[in-house]
Amino acid sequence: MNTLMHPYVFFAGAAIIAGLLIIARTMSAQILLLASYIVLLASLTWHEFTTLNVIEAQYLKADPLTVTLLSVLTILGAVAAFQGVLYAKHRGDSISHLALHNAALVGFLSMLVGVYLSRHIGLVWAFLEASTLTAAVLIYHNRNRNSVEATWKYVFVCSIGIAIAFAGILFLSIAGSATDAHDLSFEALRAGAHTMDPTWLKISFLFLLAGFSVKLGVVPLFNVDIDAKDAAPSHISALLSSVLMNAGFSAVYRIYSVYSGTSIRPWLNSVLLLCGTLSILAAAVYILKVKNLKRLLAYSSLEHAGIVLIAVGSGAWFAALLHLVLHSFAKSAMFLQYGHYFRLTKSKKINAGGDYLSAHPAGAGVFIVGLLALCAVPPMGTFLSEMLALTTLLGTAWWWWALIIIPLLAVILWAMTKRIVSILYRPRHHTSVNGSRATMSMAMETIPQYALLAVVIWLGFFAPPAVVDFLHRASILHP
Amino acid sequence: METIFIILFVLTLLYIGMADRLSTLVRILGVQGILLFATAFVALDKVDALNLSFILIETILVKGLLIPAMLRRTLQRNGIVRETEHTVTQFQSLLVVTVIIVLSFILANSIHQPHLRIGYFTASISAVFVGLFIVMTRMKIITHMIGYLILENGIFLLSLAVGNEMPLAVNTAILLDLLTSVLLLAFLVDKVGETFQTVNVHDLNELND
Repeated sequence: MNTLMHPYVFFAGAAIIAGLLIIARTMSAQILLLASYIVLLASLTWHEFTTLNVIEAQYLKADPLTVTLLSVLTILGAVAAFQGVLYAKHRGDSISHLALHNAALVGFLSMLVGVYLSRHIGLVWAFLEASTLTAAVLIYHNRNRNSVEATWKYVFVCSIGIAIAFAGILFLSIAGSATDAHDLSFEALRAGAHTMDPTWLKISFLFLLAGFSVKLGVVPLFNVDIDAKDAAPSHISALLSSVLMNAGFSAVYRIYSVYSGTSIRPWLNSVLLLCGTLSILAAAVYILKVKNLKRLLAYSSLEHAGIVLIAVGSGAWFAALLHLVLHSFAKSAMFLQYGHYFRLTKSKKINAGGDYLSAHPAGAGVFIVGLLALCAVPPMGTFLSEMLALTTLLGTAWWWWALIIIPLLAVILWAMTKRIVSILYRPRHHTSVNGSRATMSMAMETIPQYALLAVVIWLGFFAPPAVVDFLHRASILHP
Repeated sequence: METIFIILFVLTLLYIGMADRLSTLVRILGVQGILLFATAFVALDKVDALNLSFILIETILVKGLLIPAMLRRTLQRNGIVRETEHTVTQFQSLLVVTVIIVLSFILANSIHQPHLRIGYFTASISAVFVGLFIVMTRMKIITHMIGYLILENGIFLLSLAVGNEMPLAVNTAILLDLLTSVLLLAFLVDKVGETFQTVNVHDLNELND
C-alpha cells in the first residue's frame, strides 16, 4: 500500500494529467482529469502521512509540517480547480483557453508539493522558481493590459528575488565549506550549523529571506505579489494568498530551523520581528488608501504574513503555523467571494458596490464571517492564533514591539471593517448600471466559501486533540 | 590562466557600463557566456565528462548562443535599436561600474575564508551589482532583462567561487528553470510591446491602488 504512492508516481501522474489536459477538448474530460489529479494529490498526502520522516527519491522527505501543508493544498486545490471551471463557464472562455489554465494549475500545485517535500535547499529553490513560472501562466490568464503588466512584473521581480536567494544559498555553502555540511540537505546543515561562521550565516539568511519574501508576500519584495493577486482570476489569487504563501513560509521556516540551532538565534528573531512589523506597517499604510477590493484582500495577506513572521520571531511556532493554516482558508473564501462581487458589479472598486446584503445575501454572509476571521474576532480560530502570538511576544525581551504592532493592527481592523461594511450596507446610487441581483445558483456557489470558513472556526475551537497534537509536532523546529 | 579570464570578464562589465546600443549589450552577454565556460573549465579540479558536458550546455549553448539569439530576435520584432533614455550619462554609468568593481575587490580581499577563490568572488559580486545597477537606471524592459542576465552570470561565477557542487539532479532543475524563465521573459517583452505599444518601464503603471 505504502509503496504505491511514491512521490515519483505522483510527479509522473501529474505530468501525464497535465499533458492530457492540454489536448483534451471536451468539458467533461477536463473535469474528469482535474478530479483524478485531486485524488492523486489526496492519496499522496495520505501516503506521506503514513510514511513520516522516510527519505524518498533521495531528496524528498515528509515531516508533519509537509503533511499539514499538503492537506491544506489538497483542499484548496480542489476548491480552486472547481472554481476555475465555473469561472471559464461564466466568462465563456474557449475550451483551449481553459485547457491551458488547468494544465498550468496542475503544474503549479505539483511544484508546490515539491517545495513542501524537498529536504535539499537547492531543490527547494528550484521548485519555488518553477512555481513562479507556472504561476505566470495563471496570472496571465485574462490576457488583458493588467494581466500583461502584472505577469511581467511578477516574473521579473521573482527572478531577481530568486537569484538573490540563490546567492544566499551559495553564502551558506561558504559557511558550510569549513564543516561537514557539504550536501546542503536540511539534516546535514542542521547538524553542522553550530560550527559555521556566524557572519556568513547572517549574510546568507538576509539574502534568503529577501529572495523568498516574494513568495511569502512580505517586506521587502511584496509589491509585485499584490499586483499579481490584483490581476489574476480570483480563484488564482486565492491560491497565491494561501498555498504559495505557505510554500514561502515552508522555505523560510526550514531555513530558520537550520540557523536557530546556532548562536545567532536572537539576531534571527529580531530580523523576523522587524520584517513582520514592517509588513504590517506597509499593509496599514496601503489599506488606508486602497479603493480596490481585491487589493484590499491582498494587503490583508501582507498583514497576516507579517503576523506569522512575528509569531515565529517571538517563539510562538505553534501559533505561527496555526495562523498560517487558518489564514489560508479564510483568505481563499474571501477571494472566491470577491469573484461573485465582480460578477455583480462588473468592477473591482469598493465604491462600485453597496447594498450587497440585499443584492446577494448569501455572499454578504461570507464577507461578514470572512471579515471576522481576517480581523481575528471570536469565534474565528484566527483569534486564538493571533492572541497566542501576541501574548508570547509580550513575554519576551522584545515586548515593546507590541506597542507598535497592536495599534497598527487596530488601524487595519478599522479600515477593513469600514470598507467591507460600506459594500454591505451603503445605499447604492446609480443602480441602473450595477443593479443586478444574485441568482439562486450564485447563492449555491457560496457553499465552498462557508465550508472553508467553518474550517476556520472548527480548527480554532473544536479540533480533536489528535489534530492539535499533529499541528504541534509540525511546528516543532528540530524533529 | 584563470586570472586572464577573470580580468576579461571584469572588462566586459566596464564595456556594459559604456554601451549604448542594445545590440552591443547582447553581444557582450554572448561573450560573457563563452568567458564563463573558459573560467569554469579552468576552475574544475577533476574533469568528468558528465559535469563538463553539463557546463558546456549551460554556458556556451545557453548563455553564449541561445539567449543572445533570442534577445536579438526580440529586439528586431519590437524595432528597438538604442537605449536612449538613460537616467544617468555614459560617464556617470562608467564611473559607478568602476566603483562597484573596486569595492568588490576590497570586499573580497577582506574575507579570510580558506575555500574561497578571491578572483572569482570579486568578479561575481561586481557582476551582481552591475546587473542590479542596469536594472535600476535603464528605462526599457529589454534592458532590464539584460541586467537580470548579467546578475545571473554573476551568480554562476559565485557558484564557481564557492566551489561547492550541487547534485546533478538539482543542477538540472536549476538549469531548466533558468532557461524557461528567460524564454518566458522574452515572450512577455513581446507581449508588453504588443499590448502597450511601448517598451518603456514607466508606461507600465496601470496597476495601482
